[in-house]
Amino acid sequence: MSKEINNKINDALYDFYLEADKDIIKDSLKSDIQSLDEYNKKKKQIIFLAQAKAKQKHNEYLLALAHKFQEAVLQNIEKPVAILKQLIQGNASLALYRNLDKLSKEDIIEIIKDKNLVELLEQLENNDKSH
Amino acid sequence: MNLAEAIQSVDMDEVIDRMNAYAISILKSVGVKNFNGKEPIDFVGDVILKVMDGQRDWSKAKCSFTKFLFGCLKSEISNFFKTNKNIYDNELPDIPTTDQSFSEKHIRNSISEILKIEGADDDELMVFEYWADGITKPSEIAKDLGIDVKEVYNITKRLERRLPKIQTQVKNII
Repeated sequence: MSKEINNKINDALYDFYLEADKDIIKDSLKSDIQSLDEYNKKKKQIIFLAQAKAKQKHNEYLLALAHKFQEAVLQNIEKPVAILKQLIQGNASLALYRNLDKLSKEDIIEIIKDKNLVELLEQLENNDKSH
Repeated sequence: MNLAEAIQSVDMDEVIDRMNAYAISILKSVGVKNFNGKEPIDFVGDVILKVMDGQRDWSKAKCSFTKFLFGCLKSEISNFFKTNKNIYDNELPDIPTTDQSFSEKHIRNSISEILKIEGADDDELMVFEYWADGITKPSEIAKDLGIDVKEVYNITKRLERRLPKIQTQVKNII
């Protein structure tokens, strides 16, 4: 039971710090952090690293997905080809890429780069499973 | 929304401040200042990088990115205390009893008494009662009481300062 009360207190602190006004958070940090300069420096480093990792992850994903699509086009597998066609048809700026046989990996990246990559990969994997 | 978009969609500077303030608050509630020598900001940084590495999977999340990061932090802190249970006893003791309702009432009353002794006012006691009833969101408490949520924030800050004393004194009473 005491564990439950403990969890509720933790939940209350969690909700408070998630909801509270920016100013309250800033004031709270001012009284708790000894060196704000050091803290801000670390914060900047974390943001830089996080953004770099997110970009790197995105590029890796994009390349892997483009590779999967390219393989599928070469083997003329129905569903991935249909997905690519649909993406091209839905966007006038991609009209240049109508000839699927001649698509390079870079072309495919251009076609899929602004799409939901996780969803596209799931669609491709579902197709893999059904074959 | 992929990770690269998610991180752009929020003010990371503000999110890190919130996460850090929450981590400090939890540490204070158990009377310690850091995580085995690691500063709260470094602990928060590790959690964020775990998300960026994919060790914590954002792609299946159904909530906002801020809430997702907060959830990961809460879970990592909980894991930390479980792993270091012999060093940080962050829980009120369990009461071996067959009468659950008695033990719950007993703990709640004990905490309320300690809060009074520690100088908590009626507002703080009332907010604590909401927490014990499982209503923990400041906005919900404010709505129910018909007061401005900022008042609940201020009451919570006062109550928060008394938490370390609750932890140690309840252990002595039970």
